[in-house]
Amino acid sequence: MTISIDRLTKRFGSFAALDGISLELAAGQLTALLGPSGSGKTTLLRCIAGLEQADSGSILFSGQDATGTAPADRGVGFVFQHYALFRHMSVFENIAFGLRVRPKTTRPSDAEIKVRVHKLLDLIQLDWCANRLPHQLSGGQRQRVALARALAVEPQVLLLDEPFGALDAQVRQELRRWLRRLHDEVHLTSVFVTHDQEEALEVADQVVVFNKGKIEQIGTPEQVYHHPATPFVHRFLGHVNVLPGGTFVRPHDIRLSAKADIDHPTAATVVGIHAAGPAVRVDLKIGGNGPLVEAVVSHQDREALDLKNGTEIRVGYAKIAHWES
Amino acid sequence: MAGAPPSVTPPPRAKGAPRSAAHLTEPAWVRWLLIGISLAFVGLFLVLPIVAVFTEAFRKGLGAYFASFHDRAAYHAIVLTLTTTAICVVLNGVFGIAAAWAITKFRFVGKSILITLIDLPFAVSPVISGLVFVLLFGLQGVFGGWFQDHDIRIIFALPGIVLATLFVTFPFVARELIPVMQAQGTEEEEAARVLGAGGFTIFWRVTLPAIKWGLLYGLILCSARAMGEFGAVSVVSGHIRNQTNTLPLHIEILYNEYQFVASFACASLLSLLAVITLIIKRFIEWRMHHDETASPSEPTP
Repeated sequence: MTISIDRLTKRFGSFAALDGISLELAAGQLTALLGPSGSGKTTLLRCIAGLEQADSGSILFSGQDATGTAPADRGVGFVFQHYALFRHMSVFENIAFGLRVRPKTTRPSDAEIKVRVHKLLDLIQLDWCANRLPHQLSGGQRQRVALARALAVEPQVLLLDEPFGALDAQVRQELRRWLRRLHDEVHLTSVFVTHDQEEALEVADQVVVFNKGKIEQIGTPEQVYHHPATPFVHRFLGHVNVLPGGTFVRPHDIRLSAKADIDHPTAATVVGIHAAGPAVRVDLKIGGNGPLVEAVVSHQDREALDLKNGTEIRVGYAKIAHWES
Repeated sequence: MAGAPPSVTPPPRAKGAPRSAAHLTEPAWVRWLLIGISLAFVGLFLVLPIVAVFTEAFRKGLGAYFASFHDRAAYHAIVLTLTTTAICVVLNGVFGIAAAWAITKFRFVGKSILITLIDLPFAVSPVISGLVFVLLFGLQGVFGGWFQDHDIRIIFALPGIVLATLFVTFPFVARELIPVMQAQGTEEEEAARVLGAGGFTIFWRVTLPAIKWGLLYGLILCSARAMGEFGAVSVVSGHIRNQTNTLPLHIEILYNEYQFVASFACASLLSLLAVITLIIKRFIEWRMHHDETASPSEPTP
């Protein structure tokens, strides 16, 4: 299902959470709404779900105006940041809830509900905890149950609010890859909110960068990372060194050399080295009293250049961007 | 021992060992003094009176004790008290849920005023609470004439007693539910809404099961207070024997008529109800605690 959002505005008191947002979400795509907290991304997600009413503007589902439609009639599944599982119901009953509350005429039979719930439990690989209560599960397991519950009503749109925000790093990474595979299998239009740029860049087909209730840029992960449209996007996606005069340079675009040449014109001093990890982060002081910048080099380069605190070195920038400030 | 790494089990507190875990507790004499004062106070002001009530009640033997309840006035007082309590528990359950729901799930103007007003009955003397209803519904009262014309008795009748008791016991359920519902937030209800549940289904299947122990706890406190309420009821009841005497009022009348055994027998019944309520309350507290501390045990995925 294609979702078109047209000049959507939502205020909380004097605070504009959404300030005239227009956005197209193509059918079958996985879109990430990325931005710092308070930038309006969650409000947009809640407006799409119908949990929040916009002050003005419209939302179209496959061309049909859905602005005033109740959440239940939108065909959306919503996964909450803190799972929002029904705490007194077993995992099975949580997933079955959406089917059980249907009016008698469209409600599946108990046998059918059982089949469908077990199919979903298989999908999330938690068939063995059908009778457990949510508090007996780990965070990652709870999140998968929340996902199965949302999928049980066979939505056409899946909305996820910071789905991995409350999980630890490793589970987070596993789960987001799993989500990507799941999305490809079930063919939904999916939208997830995150403030983690790495998550957005890794999982999404399309990234929408939010700031202060407005959209800064819409594009593929590659586009927004390599061709940021605004200084905000440039700063928000990945590390960037901001040099005087509005020059932005990413740490991995800083080249180091032992001797001065046309590619390495600037003198710098090493003031810090962080070698734990796949690459080495080097803190540099440009010139005698210039700005501090961060460079990333390989372990081999570090050894070849014999970098340590106080090493005098030459630097050059492989790629820079200028932003009028 | 200062600067020692924190250990999982506290070190054994050997006698005379220099300051072992002494920073965690007071010297022995302070502890025993405090415990002694607390126990003496409880004994003097709680245990002794209850013992006195029961000794007085049984002074003339079991026969006289049970004879006290074979009296028509006593029987009527018990029925009236239980009726009033039942009505108040039901109505305050509904009001309490509605108020707590409104306060915790909606954003609206005047919310803080509502929260303050809920506590009003705690702050106002019960006698004044009763007086308010006399001023409103008494013969000379604001609405008194209208009710008189329609032959409806409020004051010196059951409705007045119920109103006064309702007023006094209103805060219990709401007070108990607001923090519970605040802690739970609205996400579960929102999840149910997106899944297609209607308002009533959400309340019945999502909200109510989550607040049931808090609700029961509030209802228990409410019923305990409703059974024992004296001041407010005394003002509106009119003390008409066999008609508007609740158990506490009946006890007072018996006492003033020097019928000590009967008076204390009724008092012992009221005390017994209080003890039963306490036991139920304790059980509910245990269940609430149990539900809360059934914490995630983080098994491996």
